[in-house]
Amino acid sequence: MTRLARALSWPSSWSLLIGVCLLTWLLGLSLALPYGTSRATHQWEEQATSYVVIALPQQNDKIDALQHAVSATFPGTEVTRLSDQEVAQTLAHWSTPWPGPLPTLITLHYRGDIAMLTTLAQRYEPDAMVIPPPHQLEKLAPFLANIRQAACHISLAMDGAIALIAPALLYLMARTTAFANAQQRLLLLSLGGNPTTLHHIFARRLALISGLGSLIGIALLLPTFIALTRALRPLLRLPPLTDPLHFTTLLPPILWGSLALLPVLIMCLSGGLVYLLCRMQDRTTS
Amino acid sequence: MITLHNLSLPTSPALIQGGLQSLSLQLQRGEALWVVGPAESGKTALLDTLALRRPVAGSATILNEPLSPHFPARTRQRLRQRIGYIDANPLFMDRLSLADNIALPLELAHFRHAEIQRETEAILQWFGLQDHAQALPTTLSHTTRLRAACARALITHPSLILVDEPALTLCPELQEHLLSTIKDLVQNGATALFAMRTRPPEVSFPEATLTLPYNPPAPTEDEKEETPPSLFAPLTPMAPTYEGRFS
Repeated sequence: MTRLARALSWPSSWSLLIGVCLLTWLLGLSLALPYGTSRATHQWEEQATSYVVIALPQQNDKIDALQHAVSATFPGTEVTRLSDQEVAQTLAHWSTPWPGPLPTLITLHYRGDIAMLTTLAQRYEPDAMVIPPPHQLEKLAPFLANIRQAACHISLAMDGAIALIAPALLYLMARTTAFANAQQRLLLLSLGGNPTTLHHIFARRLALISGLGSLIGIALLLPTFIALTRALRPLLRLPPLTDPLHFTTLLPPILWGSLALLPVLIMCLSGGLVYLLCRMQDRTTS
Repeated sequence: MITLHNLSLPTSPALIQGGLQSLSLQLQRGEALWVVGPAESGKTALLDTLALRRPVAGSATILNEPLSPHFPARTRQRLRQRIGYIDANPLFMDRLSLADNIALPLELAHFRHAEIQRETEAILQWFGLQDHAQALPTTLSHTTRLRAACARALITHPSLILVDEPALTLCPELQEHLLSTIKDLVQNGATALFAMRTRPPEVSFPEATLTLPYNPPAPTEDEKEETPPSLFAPLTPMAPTYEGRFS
Protein backbone atom coordinates (compact mmCIF):
# COMPACT_ATOMS: atom_id res chain seq x y z
CA MET A 1 0.00 0.00 0.00
CA THR A 2 1.38 3.42 -0.89
CA ARG A 3 1.84 6.16 1.66
CA LEU A 4 -0.93 8.12 0.06
CA ALA A 5 -3.38 5.23 0.37
CA ARG A 6 -2.46 4.88 4.03
CA ALA A 7 -2.84 8.60 4.60
CA LEU A 8 -6.50 8.67 3.62
CA SER A 9 -9.30 8.32 6.11
CA TRP A 10 -12.41 6.25 5.48
CA PRO A 11 -15.24 7.61 7.55
CA SER A 12 -18.07 5.77 5.84
CA SER A 13 -16.76 2.25 5.26
CA TRP A 14 -19.16 0.52 7.62
CA SER A 15 -22.16 2.47 6.41
CA LEU A 16 -21.33 1.56 2.82
CA LEU A 17 -20.71 -2.08 3.69
CA ILE A 18 -24.00 -2.42 5.55
CA GLY A 19 -25.89 -0.36 2.97
CA VAL A 20 -24.67 -2.39 0.00
CA CYS A 21 -25.20 -5.62 1.92
CA LEU A 22 -28.82 -4.68 2.62
CA LEU A 23 -29.41 -3.51 -0.95
CA THR A 24 -27.98 -6.75 -2.38
CA TRP A 25 -30.11 -8.78 -0.02
CA LEU A 26 -33.21 -6.86 -1.06
CA LEU A 27 -32.27 -7.11 -4.73
CA GLY A 28 -31.84 -10.87 -4.41
CA LEU A 29 -35.22 -11.17 -2.75
CA SER A 30 -36.89 -8.95 -5.32
CA LEU A 31 -35.38 -10.96 -8.19
CA ALA A 32 -36.46 -14.25 -6.59
CA LEU A 33 -39.94 -12.99 -5.66
CA PRO A 34 -41.66 -13.51 -9.07
CA TYR A 35 -40.11 -16.96 -9.52
CA GLY A 36 -40.94 -18.02 -5.98
CA THR A 37 -44.49 -16.71 -6.19
CA SER A 38 -45.07 -18.33 -9.54
CA ARG A 39 -43.75 -21.62 -8.26
CA ALA A 40 -45.77 -21.49 -5.06
CA THR A 41 -49.05 -20.44 -6.68
CA HIS A 42 -48.62 -23.07 -9.36
CA GLN A 43 -48.16 -25.69 -6.67
CA TRP A 44 -51.13 -24.37 -4.79
CA GLU A 45 -53.30 -24.25 -7.89
CA GLU A 46 -52.27 -27.73 -8.90
CA GLN A 47 -53.14 -29.14 -5.55
CA ALA A 48 -56.33 -27.20 -5.00
CA THR A 49 -57.98 -27.71 -8.37
CA SER A 50 -56.98 -31.27 -9.07
CA TYR A 51 -57.12 -32.83 -5.64
CA VAL A 52 -59.43 -35.81 -6.01
CA VAL A 53 -60.23 -38.29 -3.27
CA ILE A 54 -61.40 -41.86 -3.85
CA ALA A 55 -63.14 -43.15 -0.75
CA LEU A 56 -63.53 -46.89 -0.25
CA PRO A 57 -65.84 -48.10 2.50
CA GLN A 58 -63.52 -50.71 3.92
CA GLN A 59 -60.10 -52.20 3.64
CA ASN A 60 -59.77 -55.02 1.16
CA ASP A 61 -57.20 -56.54 -1.11
CA LYS A 62 -58.53 -54.73 -4.17
CA ILE A 63 -57.20 -51.39 -2.99
CA ASP A 64 -53.68 -52.03 -4.17
CA ALA A 65 -54.97 -53.22 -7.51
CA LEU A 66 -57.08 -50.07 -7.82
CA GLN A 67 -54.09 -47.88 -7.01
CA HIS A 68 -52.02 -49.55 -9.73
CA ALA A 69 -54.87 -49.36 -12.20
CA VAL A 70 -55.36 -45.61 -11.64
CA SER A 71 -51.62 -44.95 -11.98
CA ALA A 72 -51.47 -47.05 -15.16
CA THR A 73 -54.61 -45.58 -16.74
CA PHE A 74 -53.89 -41.95 -15.90
CA PRO A 75 -50.12 -41.51 -15.97
CA GLY A 76 -48.79 -38.52 -14.07
CA THR A 77 -51.41 -38.67 -11.36
CA GLU A 78 -49.66 -38.95 -8.05
CA VAL A 79 -51.74 -41.63 -6.39
CA THR A 80 -51.26 -41.76 -2.63
CA ARG A 81 -52.99 -43.99 -0.12
CA LEU A 82 -53.46 -42.09 3.11
CA SER A 83 -52.43 -43.69 6.38
CA ASP A 84 -55.03 -44.32 9.10
CA GLN A 85 -53.82 -41.28 11.00
CA GLU A 86 -54.17 -39.06 7.90
CA VAL A 87 -57.61 -40.52 7.20
CA ALA A 88 -58.72 -39.78 10.75
CA GLN A 89 -57.38 -36.23 10.41
CA THR A 90 -59.16 -35.68 7.08
CA LEU A 91 -62.43 -37.04 8.37
CA ALA A 92 -62.16 -34.89 11.46
CA HIS A 93 -61.96 -31.83 9.13
CA TRP A 94 -65.05 -33.00 7.27
CA SER A 95 -67.36 -33.89 10.14
CA THR A 96 -67.70 -34.95 13.74
CA PRO A 97 -65.55 -37.91 14.89
CA TRP A 98 -66.05 -40.92 12.65
CA PRO A 99 -68.12 -43.55 14.47
CA GLY A 100 -67.34 -46.77 12.57
CA PRO A 101 -64.24 -48.37 11.13
CA LEU A 102 -62.14 -45.97 9.11
CA PRO A 103 -62.64 -46.04 5.35
CA THR A 104 -59.71 -46.12 2.95
CA LEU A 105 -58.86 -42.86 1.19
CA ILE A 106 -56.77 -42.59 -1.92
CA THR A 107 -55.77 -39.12 -3.07
CA LEU A 108 -54.62 -38.17 -6.52
CA HIS A 109 -54.10 -35.13 -8.72
CA TYR A 110 -56.45 -35.64 -11.59
CA ARG A 111 -57.70 -33.11 -14.12
CA GLY A 112 -59.59 -35.44 -16.45
CA ASP A 113 -63.21 -36.64 -16.59
CA ILE A 114 -64.49 -37.56 -13.14
CA ALA A 115 -67.03 -40.08 -14.61
CA MET A 116 -64.19 -42.08 -16.18
CA LEU A 117 -62.37 -42.18 -12.89
CA THR A 118 -65.54 -43.20 -11.06
CA THR A 119 -66.17 -46.04 -13.55
CA LEU A 120 -62.63 -47.27 -13.09
CA ALA A 121 -62.82 -47.13 -9.30
CA GLN A 122 -66.21 -48.84 -9.16
CA ARG A 123 -64.93 -51.63 -11.39
CA TYR A 124 -62.68 -52.66 -8.50
CA GLU A 125 -64.94 -51.64 -5.65
CA PRO A 126 -68.59 -51.00 -6.46
CA ASP A 127 -69.08 -48.86 -3.37
CA ALA A 128 -66.15 -46.60 -4.16
CA MET A 129 -66.90 -42.88 -4.13
CA VAL A 130 -64.93 -40.32 -6.11
CA ILE A 131 -64.98 -36.90 -4.46
CA PRO A 132 -64.01 -34.19 -6.97
CA PRO A 133 -62.39 -30.89 -5.92
CA PRO A 134 -64.92 -28.31 -4.73
CA HIS A 135 -66.19 -26.02 -7.49
CA GLN A 136 -65.39 -22.86 -5.58
CA LEU A 137 -61.68 -23.67 -5.95
CA GLU A 138 -62.01 -22.76 -9.65
CA LYS A 139 -62.23 -19.16 -8.47
CA LEU A 140 -58.77 -19.55 -7.03
CA ALA A 141 -57.11 -19.35 -10.46
CA PRO A 142 -57.75 -15.64 -11.15
CA PHE A 143 -56.86 -14.84 -7.55
CA LEU A 144 -53.55 -16.62 -7.89
CA ALA A 145 -52.94 -14.88 -11.21
CA ASN A 146 -53.41 -11.58 -9.42
CA ILE A 147 -50.93 -12.64 -6.75
CA ARG A 148 -48.40 -13.45 -9.45
CA GLN A 149 -48.94 -10.09 -11.09
CA ALA A 150 -48.65 -8.29 -7.76
CA ALA A 151 -45.38 -10.12 -7.05
CA CYS A 152 -44.03 -8.94 -10.42
CA HIS A 153 -45.05 -5.35 -9.64
CA ILE A 154 -43.54 -5.45 -6.15
CA SER A 155 -40.33 -6.87 -7.58
CA LEU A 156 -40.19 -4.15 -10.22
CA ALA A 157 -40.83 -1.43 -7.62
CA MET A 158 -38.12 -2.84 -5.36
CA ASP A 159 -35.65 -3.02 -8.27
CA GLY A 160 -36.47 0.57 -9.16
CA ALA A 161 -36.01 1.73 -5.58
CA ILE A 162 -32.68 -0.09 -5.34
CA ALA A 163 -31.58 1.41 -8.66
CA LEU A 164 -32.25 4.85 -7.17
CA ILE A 165 -30.92 4.24 -3.66
CA ALA A 166 -27.65 2.55 -4.68
CA PRO A 167 -26.24 5.51 -6.69
CA ALA A 168 -27.48 7.92 -4.00
CA LEU A 169 -25.69 5.88 -1.33
CA LEU A 170 -22.50 5.76 -3.37
CA TYR A 171 -22.72 9.50 -4.06
CA LEU A 172 -23.09 10.18 -0.35
CA MET A 173 -20.16 7.93 0.50
CA ALA A 174 -17.96 9.46 -2.20
CA ARG A 175 -18.79 12.97 -0.97
CA THR A 176 -18.22 12.04 2.67
CA THR A 177 -14.89 10.39 1.87
CA ALA A 178 -13.77 13.31 -0.28
CA PHE A 179 -14.82 15.75 2.44
CA ALA A 180 -12.95 13.78 5.12
CA ASN A 181 -9.84 13.86 2.94
CA ALA A 182 -10.01 17.52 1.93
CA GLN A 183 -6.82 18.33 3.83
CA GLN A 184 -4.99 15.39 2.29
CA ARG A 185 -6.11 16.52 -1.15
CA LEU A 186 -4.94 20.06 -0.51
CA LEU A 187 -1.56 18.83 0.64
CA LEU A 188 -1.28 16.47 -2.29
CA LEU A 189 -1.95 19.32 -4.70
CA SER A 190 0.58 21.59 -3.00
CA LEU A 191 3.22 18.86 -3.24
CA GLY A 192 2.60 18.50 -6.95
CA GLY A 193 0.65 15.27 -6.73
CA ASN A 194 -2.02 14.31 -9.18
CA PRO A 195 -5.55 14.39 -7.69
CA THR A 196 -6.49 11.56 -10.04
CA THR A 197 -4.33 9.31 -7.85
CA LEU A 198 -6.70 10.08 -4.99
CA HIS A 199 -9.73 9.35 -7.18
CA HIS A 200 -8.25 5.98 -8.12
CA ILE A 201 -7.63 5.13 -4.48
CA PHE A 202 -11.16 6.22 -3.48
CA ALA A 203 -12.72 4.27 -6.34
CA ARG A 204 -10.69 1.12 -5.65
CA ARG A 205 -11.36 1.15 -1.92
CA LEU A 206 -15.08 1.94 -2.18
CA ALA A 207 -15.46 -0.66 -4.96
CA LEU A 208 -13.84 -3.27 -2.73
CA ILE A 209 -16.10 -2.37 0.18
CA SER A 210 -19.15 -2.48 -2.10
CA GLY A 211 -18.09 -5.86 -3.49
CA LEU A 212 -17.58 -7.22 0.01
CA GLY A 213 -20.94 -5.83 1.15
CA SER A 214 -22.59 -7.40 -1.86
CA LEU A 215 -20.96 -10.78 -1.15
CA ILE A 216 -22.19 -10.66 2.44
CA GLY A 217 -25.66 -9.74 1.15
CA ILE A 218 -25.66 -12.80 -1.10
CA ALA A 219 -24.39 -14.97 1.74
CA LEU A 220 -27.32 -13.71 3.84
CA LEU A 221 -29.71 -14.54 1.00
CA LEU A 222 -29.06 -18.27 1.32
CA PRO A 223 -30.38 -18.67 4.89
CA THR A 224 -33.23 -16.33 3.99
CA PHE A 225 -34.23 -18.57 1.08
CA ILE A 226 -33.96 -21.66 3.29
CA ALA A 227 -36.13 -20.04 5.97
CA LEU A 228 -38.71 -18.89 3.42
CA THR A 229 -38.91 -22.30 1.76
CA ARG A 230 -39.34 -23.97 5.12
CA ALA A 231 -42.00 -21.50 6.17
CA LEU A 232 -43.94 -21.86 2.92
CA ARG A 233 -43.96 -25.65 2.63
CA PRO A 234 -46.74 -26.24 5.20
CA LEU A 235 -48.82 -23.58 3.45
CA LEU A 236 -48.31 -25.40 0.18
CA ARG A 237 -49.19 -28.70 1.87
CA LEU A 238 -45.80 -30.10 1.07
CA PRO A 239 -43.91 -32.42 3.43
CA PRO A 240 -40.97 -30.90 5.34
CA LEU A 241 -37.67 -31.07 3.52
CA THR A 242 -34.62 -32.97 4.62
CA ASP A 243 -32.31 -31.23 2.14
CA PRO A 244 -32.04 -27.56 3.17
CA LEU A 245 -30.59 -26.61 -0.22
CA HIS A 246 -33.68 -27.87 -2.04
CA PHE A 247 -34.61 -24.25 -2.77
CA THR A 248 -31.74 -24.06 -5.27
CA THR A 249 -33.79 -26.25 -7.60
CA LEU A 250 -36.83 -24.01 -7.27
CA LEU A 251 -35.16 -20.92 -8.73
CA PRO A 252 -33.97 -20.83 -12.35
CA PRO A 253 -30.25 -21.03 -13.16
CA ILE A 254 -30.35 -17.56 -14.75
CA LEU A 255 -31.24 -16.09 -11.35
CA TRP A 256 -28.37 -17.90 -9.67
CA GLY A 257 -26.07 -16.70 -12.46
CA SER A 258 -27.23 -13.11 -11.93
CA LEU A 259 -26.73 -13.39 -8.18
CA ALA A 260 -23.24 -14.80 -8.66
CA LEU A 261 -22.32 -11.93 -10.97
CA LEU A 262 -23.91 -9.30 -8.75
CA PRO A 263 -20.86 -8.59 -6.49
CA VAL A 264 -18.60 -8.15 -9.52
CA LEU A 265 -21.18 -5.94 -11.20
CA ILE A 266 -21.68 -3.84 -8.06
CA MET A 267 -17.92 -3.56 -7.61
CA CYS A 268 -17.38 -2.30 -11.15
CA LEU A 269 -20.37 0.05 -11.02
CA SER A 270 -19.49 1.54 -7.64
CA GLY A 271 -15.82 1.97 -8.58
CA GLY A 272 -16.72 3.70 -11.82
CA LEU A 273 -19.39 5.85 -10.23
CA VAL A 274 -17.16 6.97 -7.34
CA TYR A 275 -14.34 7.80 -9.75
CA LEU A 276 -16.64 9.88 -11.95
CA LEU A 277 -18.17 11.66 -8.95
CA CYS A 278 -14.76 12.54 -7.50
CA ARG A 279 -13.58 13.85 -10.85
CA MET A 280 -16.70 15.94 -11.30
CA GLN A 281 -16.38 17.27 -7.76
CA ASP A 282 -12.73 18.11 -8.34
CA ARG A 283 -13.53 20.00 -11.51
CA THR A 284 -16.17 22.10 -9.80
CA THR A 285 -13.92 22.94 -6.83
CA SER A 286 -10.71 23.63 -8.78
CA MET B 1 14.06 31.40 -13.87
CA ILE B 2 11.44 33.69 -12.31
CA THR B 3 10.03 36.72 -14.07
CA LEU B 4 7.12 38.66 -12.67
CA HIS B 5 5.74 41.58 -14.62
CA ASN B 6 3.12 43.87 -13.10
CA LEU B 7 2.02 41.17 -10.70
CA SER B 8 -0.84 42.45 -8.55
CA LEU B 9 -0.35 41.60 -4.91
CA PRO B 10 -2.95 42.22 -2.21
CA THR B 11 -1.71 44.62 0.43
CA SER B 12 -3.30 46.33 3.37
CA PRO B 13 -5.06 49.55 2.26
CA ALA B 14 -3.36 51.17 5.23
CA LEU B 15 -0.04 50.58 3.51
CA ILE B 16 -1.00 51.24 -0.09
CA GLN B 17 -4.00 53.10 -1.39
CA GLY B 18 -6.39 50.69 -3.07
CA GLY B 19 -4.94 47.63 -1.37
CA LEU B 20 -3.08 46.41 -4.45
CA GLN B 21 0.54 46.77 -5.38
CA SER B 22 2.14 45.94 -8.66
CA LEU B 23 5.43 44.14 -8.62
CA SER B 24 7.93 43.24 -11.29
CA LEU B 25 10.81 41.00 -10.44
CA GLN B 26 13.40 38.88 -12.12
CA LEU B 27 15.46 36.19 -10.42
CA GLN B 28 17.95 33.84 -11.99
CA ARG B 29 19.21 30.42 -10.94
CA GLY B 30 21.52 30.53 -7.96
CA GLU B 31 19.99 33.74 -6.59
CA ALA B 32 18.33 34.27 -3.25
CA LEU B 33 16.34 37.16 -1.87
CA TRP B 34 14.92 38.45 1.40
CA VAL B 35 11.38 39.74 1.03
CA VAL B 36 10.79 42.03 3.99
CA GLY B 37 7.91 44.21 5.02
CA PRO B 38 5.33 44.74 7.73
CA ALA B 39 2.31 42.50 8.24
CA GLU B 40 -0.13 42.52 5.31
CA SER B 41 2.46 43.95 2.97
CA GLY B 42 2.05 41.05 0.52
CA LYS B 43 5.02 38.84 1.46
CA THR B 44 3.02 35.64 1.89
CA ALA B 45 0.88 36.50 -1.12
CA LEU B 46 4.06 36.74 -3.19
CA LEU B 47 5.29 33.37 -1.92
CA ASP B 48 1.86 31.81 -2.47
CA THR B 49 1.82 33.11 -6.02
CA LEU B 50 5.27 31.71 -6.71
CA ALA B 51 4.20 28.40 -5.17
CA LEU B 52 1.24 28.36 -7.60
CA ARG B 53 -1.25 28.45 -4.75
CA ARG B 54 -2.85 31.70 -5.89
CA PRO B 55 -4.13 32.73 -9.29
CA VAL B 56 -1.62 34.92 -11.05
CA ALA B 57 -2.87 38.46 -11.67
CA GLY B 58 -0.34 39.75 -14.14
CA SER B 59 2.33 38.18 -16.23
CA ALA B 60 4.65 35.62 -14.71
CA THR B 61 7.19 33.03 -15.73
CA ILE B 62 8.16 30.54 -13.05
CA LEU B 63 10.95 28.02 -13.57
CA ASN B 64 11.02 29.14 -17.21
CA GLU B 65 7.37 28.19 -17.61
CA PRO B 66 5.06 31.06 -18.59
CA LEU B 67 1.88 31.05 -16.52
CA SER B 68 -1.42 31.70 -18.22
CA PRO B 69 -5.09 31.45 -17.23
CA HIS B 70 -5.32 28.11 -19.09
CA PHE B 71 -2.31 26.66 -17.39
CA PRO B 72 -2.29 22.88 -17.98
CA ALA B 73 -2.77 20.90 -14.79
CA ARG B 74 0.10 18.55 -15.62
CA THR B 75 2.55 21.43 -16.01
CA ARG B 76 1.30 22.86 -12.72
CA GLN B 77 1.92 19.54 -10.97
CA ARG B 78 5.37 19.23 -12.52
CA LEU B 79 6.26 22.75 -11.42
CA ARG B 80 4.93 22.22 -7.92
CA GLN B 81 7.17 19.18 -7.57
CA ARG B 82 10.12 21.46 -8.24
CA ILE B 83 9.06 24.02 -5.65
CA GLY B 84 9.77 23.60 -1.94
CA TYR B 85 7.52 25.85 0.10
CA ILE B 86 7.80 26.10 3.88
CA ASP B 87 4.66 27.98 4.72
CA ALA B 88 3.48 29.44 8.00
CA ASN B 89 1.10 26.59 8.87
CA PRO B 90 2.39 23.47 7.18
CA LEU B 91 -0.18 20.75 6.57
CA PHE B 92 0.56 17.11 7.20
CA MET B 93 -1.09 13.81 6.52
CA ASP B 94 -2.29 13.15 10.05
CA ARG B 95 -2.50 9.38 9.65
CA LEU B 96 1.08 9.04 8.42
CA SER B 97 4.19 9.06 10.54
CA LEU B 98 6.55 12.01 10.30
CA ALA B 99 9.02 9.97 8.24
CA ASP B 100 6.28 9.00 5.78
CA ASN B 101 5.14 12.61 5.56
CA ILE B 102 8.65 13.72 4.73
CA ALA B 103 9.03 10.92 2.18
CA LEU B 104 5.77 11.78 0.44
CA PRO B 105 7.23 14.23 -2.16
CA LEU B 106 9.71 11.56 -3.23
CA GLU B 107 6.94 9.02 -3.62
CA LEU B 108 4.90 11.48 -5.67
CA ALA B 109 7.95 12.02 -7.88
CA HIS B 110 8.12 8.21 -8.37
CA PHE B 111 11.46 7.67 -6.68
CA ARG B 112 12.52 4.09 -5.95
CA HIS B 113 11.75 2.60 -2.58
CA ALA B 114 15.40 2.24 -1.56
CA GLU B 115 16.15 5.77 -2.62
CA ILE B 116 13.19 7.13 -0.68
CA GLN B 117 14.36 5.24 2.39
CA ARG B 118 17.91 6.52 2.11
CA GLU B 119 17.00 10.15 1.44
CA THR B 120 14.40 10.22 4.20
CA GLU B 121 16.77 8.82 6.79
CA ALA B 122 19.44 11.30 5.75
CA ILE B 123 17.20 14.34 5.95
CA LEU B 124 15.63 13.20 9.24
CA GLN B 125 19.10 13.04 10.69
CA TRP B 126 20.06 16.36 9.11
CA PHE B 127 17.17 18.14 10.79
CA GLY B 128 17.50 16.18 14.04
CA LEU B 129 14.14 14.48 13.63
CA GLN B 130 15.21 10.85 13.84
CA ASP B 131 13.68 10.46 17.30
CA HIS B 132 10.29 11.59 15.99
CA ALA B 133 10.40 9.56 12.78
CA GLN B 134 7.56 7.24 13.70
CA ALA B 135 5.50 9.82 15.61
CA LEU B 136 2.26 11.16 14.21
CA PRO B 137 2.40 14.86 13.30
CA THR B 138 -0.52 15.73 15.58
CA THR B 139 1.47 14.59 18.62
CA LEU B 140 4.41 16.90 17.91
CA SER B 141 5.18 20.48 18.87
CA HIS B 142 4.87 23.32 16.39
CA THR B 143 8.65 23.71 16.16
CA THR B 144 9.10 20.03 15.36
CA ARG B 145 6.38 20.27 12.77
CA LEU B 146 8.17 23.24 11.22
CA ARG B 147 11.40 21.25 11.17
CA ALA B 148 9.54 18.43 9.45
CA ALA B 149 8.04 20.90 6.97
CA CYS B 150 11.57 22.10 6.18
CA ALA B 151 12.74 18.53 5.68
CA ARG B 152 9.79 17.73 3.45
CA ALA B 153 10.26 20.87 1.38
CA LEU B 154 13.96 20.27 0.82
CA ILE B 155 14.04 16.49 0.40
CA THR B 156 13.60 16.69 -3.37
CA HIS B 157 16.33 19.36 -3.76
CA PRO B 158 13.81 21.77 -5.29
CA SER B 159 14.71 24.34 -7.91
CA LEU B 160 12.74 27.07 -6.15
CA ILE B 161 12.69 27.35 -2.36
CA LEU B 162 10.19 29.58 -0.59
CA VAL B 163 10.36 30.10 3.16
CA ASP B 164 7.75 32.00 5.13
CA GLU B 165 8.50 33.78 8.40
CA PRO B 166 7.70 31.24 11.17
CA ALA B 167 10.36 28.75 10.04
CA LEU B 168 12.93 31.51 10.31
CA THR B 169 11.86 33.12 13.56
CA LEU B 170 10.56 30.34 15.78
CA CYS B 171 13.88 28.80 16.66
CA PRO B 172 17.33 30.39 16.07
CA GLU B 173 18.90 26.95 15.71
CA LEU B 174 16.44 26.00 13.01
CA GLN B 175 17.00 29.31 11.24
CA GLU B 176 20.74 28.82 11.12
CA HIS B 177 20.42 25.23 10.02
CA LEU B 178 17.84 26.02 7.40
CA LEU B 179 19.76 28.95 5.94
CA SER B 180 22.98 26.97 5.68
CA THR B 181 21.14 24.10 3.97
CA ILE B 182 19.42 26.43 1.54
CA LYS B 183 22.67 28.27 0.88
CA ASP B 184 24.19 25.01 -0.31
CA LEU B 185 21.20 24.37 -2.55
CA VAL B 186 21.36 27.91 -3.95
CA GLN B 187 25.03 27.46 -4.72
CA ASN B 188 24.01 24.39 -6.68
CA GLY B 189 21.60 26.41 -8.79
CA ALA B 190 18.39 26.70 -6.80
CA THR B 191 16.55 29.98 -6.30
CA ALA B 192 15.31 30.98 -2.85
CA LEU B 193 13.03 33.62 -1.34
CA PHE B 194 12.74 34.25 2.40
CA ALA B 195 9.86 36.29 3.78
CA MET B 196 10.30 38.18 7.08
CA ARG B 197 9.19 41.39 8.70
CA THR B 198 12.74 42.62 9.04
CA ARG B 199 15.93 41.19 7.79
CA PRO B 200 17.89 39.53 10.61
CA PRO B 201 20.96 41.71 11.13
CA GLU B 202 23.38 38.91 11.95
CA VAL B 203 22.59 36.89 8.81
CA SER B 204 24.68 37.57 5.74
CA PHE B 205 22.96 35.19 3.32
CA PRO B 206 21.32 36.23 1.08
CA GLU B 207 22.50 39.72 0.46
CA ALA B 208 19.66 41.01 -1.68
CA THR B 209 16.49 42.39 -0.10
CA LEU B 210 13.14 43.37 -1.53
CA THR B 211 11.01 45.59 0.69
CA LEU B 212 7.25 45.39 0.45
CA PRO B 213 5.07 47.25 -0.12
CA TYR B 214 6.96 48.90 -2.83
CA ASN B 215 6.79 52.72 -2.91
CA PRO B 216 7.19 53.76 -6.50
CA PRO B 217 9.21 56.79 -7.47
CA ALA B 218 7.05 59.83 -8.05
CA PRO B 219 6.11 60.18 -11.72
CA THR B 220 7.62 63.00 -13.69
CA GLU B 221 5.52 66.00 -14.73
CA ASP B 222 5.19 64.65 -18.28
CA GLU B 223 3.98 61.25 -17.05
CA LYS B 224 1.43 62.96 -14.81
CA GLU B 225 -0.07 64.80 -17.77
CA GLU B 226 -0.15 61.75 -19.99
CA THR B 227 -1.67 59.27 -17.56
CA PRO B 228 -3.98 60.52 -14.84
CA PRO B 229 -3.58 58.43 -11.70
CA SER B 230 -6.20 55.77 -11.19
CA LEU B 231 -7.07 54.15 -7.94
CA PHE B 232 -6.86 50.61 -9.30
CA ALA B 233 -4.15 51.09 -11.89
CA PRO B 234 -0.76 49.65 -11.04
CA LEU B 235 1.18 52.12 -9.00
CA THR B 236 4.27 51.51 -11.03
CA PRO B 237 4.81 49.97 -14.42
CA MET B 238 7.90 48.23 -13.13
CA ALA B 239 9.15 47.73 -9.65
CA PRO B 240 12.60 49.06 -8.87
CA THR B 241 15.65 46.94 -9.17
CA TYR B 242 17.35 45.50 -6.18
CA GLU B 243 21.06 45.14 -6.51
CA GLY B 244 20.54 45.72 -10.19
CA ARG B 245 18.38 42.60 -10.60
CA PHE B 246 14.94 44.18 -10.94
CA SER B 247 14.18 45.20 -14.45
